[in-house]
Formats: sequence, C-alpha cells, structure tokens
Amino acid sequence: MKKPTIQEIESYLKKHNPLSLSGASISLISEHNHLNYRVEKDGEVYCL
Amino acid sequence: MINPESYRQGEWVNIPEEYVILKYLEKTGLGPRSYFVDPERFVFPLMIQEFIEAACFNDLKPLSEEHLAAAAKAIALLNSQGITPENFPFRKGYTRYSYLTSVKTWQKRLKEIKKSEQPDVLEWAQKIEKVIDGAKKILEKFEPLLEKAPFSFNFDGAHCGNTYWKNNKVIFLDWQKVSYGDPAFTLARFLTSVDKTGEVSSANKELMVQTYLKRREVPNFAQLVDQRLFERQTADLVWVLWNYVKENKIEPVEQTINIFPRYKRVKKLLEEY
Repeated sequence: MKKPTIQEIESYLKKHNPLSLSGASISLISEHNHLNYRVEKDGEVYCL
Repeated sequence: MINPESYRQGEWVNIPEEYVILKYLEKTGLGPRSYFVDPERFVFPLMIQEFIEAACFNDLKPLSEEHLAAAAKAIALLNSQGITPENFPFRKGYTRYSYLTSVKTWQKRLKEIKKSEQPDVLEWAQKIEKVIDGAKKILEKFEPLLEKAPFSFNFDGAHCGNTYWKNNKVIFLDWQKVSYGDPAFTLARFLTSVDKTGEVSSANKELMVQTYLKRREVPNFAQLVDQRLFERQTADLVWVLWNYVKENKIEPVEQTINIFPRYKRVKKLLEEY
C-alpha cells in the first residue's frame, strides 16, 4: 500500500477536525517504520 | 501512523495498541503524550501525540556518564510498569520467557536470507548458520536463570536512535516494539546501540547495571544482562544480513554492513562460553 499524501491528511483533518486541527499546516518529518508529520495550528504543534 | 511501505510493518503493535501503551506510560514521562487515536476513519489508523523537541542520543555520542545513568534510570522505571500479557496483548514472539524465542526468529530470518542469489550473502549465511547452532546450545544453558527472573515490561526499540535527551531527562520515541519477559532485555538492547559496531564496553555496562540496581532490585541482574547481551549480539549479527537482503542491496556485503566485527565478536563469545 502507498503512503498517504499530505492532501489526504488535510482532507481528513478538515472533515473530522480532531483537536480542532482543521486547516493546520502539515509537513513530513520522518518516514522509517512510522510516518511522522508535524502538524501546526495557531501556535500549537503536534506530531501525527 | 505505521509506514505502509515498510517491509516490517506487520511485526509490531498497531497504532491503537501503541496509543494504549503511551496512555499507560503518561505518568512516567518516558514517552510522548498521546492525545487522540482514530483506528478507522482514515485510510490507515492514526494517532496525534505531543511534538517532542529533544536531542537524539545518536547525535550526542560519545555519550557521557550522565546520559548513560539517566538511560539506566529510565529503563528501570519502564521495566517496573505493570503492563503484562494479562492487560495488554503482546504480539507472538514478543513475550520473552525463553531465549529460544529468539532462536526461532533467527532461523526464520536465515531461511529468508538463503533465498538470496548473491554468492557473498550465501557465504555469510553458511557462517551464520553455524553461529546459530552454537549460540542455541549456549542459550539453553542460560535458561534456568531467566526462568527465575521477575518478568518485566520492555521497550524493544530502546536503541540510541529512539532515545532522546530533553530537560536533562530521557524520553523514548517510536513505541511500536514492546514486549514482556526478561528484565535485562531493554538495558541490553540499549547497550548494544551505544557503539555503531555493537561493541559493549565493560565500563558502560557496569555503570548502567549499577545505576539500574539502585532503582530496581532484580536478583542476578548483572548475569542476566550478560546472557541477554550474548543473545542480542547474535541477533544483531543475523539481523544486519537479513536487513541487507530485505532492502535488496547489491553492493558487496562486507563493504555495506558492519557484519565482520559483529561476527568476530560473537565467535569470540561462543569460544568463551
């Protein structure tokens, strides 16, 4: 199976809005065993 | 989320299980805080957790006594957590009541290595097969001590690449490999990653064992660590060749992976035991 795209993650966040992260900026930070993304909105930063 | 393109993705806990583990560990500060998990509404299960800004132990090498002692304390705290097969479903092969669990894994990996058509891989496979036979006999002798040990929760991914330094404390990341059993497993796993060739210095081992024992009493701990180090060093020897094959590398084996020093060390240990 292929890795998800940033656009797919953005759409997910927009639709389900977990932790009010709809519209957050997303960047890939590592892709070994885990895919880790930096997710930032309104100064709050999370790892997805 | 788990990388769907990783050839190892089926081996570990899944994301909802990792969320359970991180929630359990939250009070210890040993892992990132986990805030949200969604097992099914995205194409893959996903989790949202604390973003950790910290220094990776691989970037802090050579590690100081302060780093090593802090890692030993963190591992003692981790091993004391009450996560057991009764309250968490460990993957088959991730309960370590016997060293022979590892031997089965090595044999499985060797079978996969032997599918290679590269002559130098097959040559190394022959050497490793002999090592596995010898190591198995030694591990059988180690069993009685392990059977008496107080079993513990382990983080199998506790190598320097997953160990971070934040505000003078250790925090571990990437919790997809956890197990239950041998109380010496996590410490041995960490120790074999301090040097890139897998060499473990007596001074580092002594410092970490003594620091651990100040936090958590485990009978015969030093001997259990030695036994597990022998098992881990053999495991790592098998793993480097297996991983070379799985990553479809074609460059000469000895120039690509650190196999020779590992082989030499395990051969020496086989002779000593």
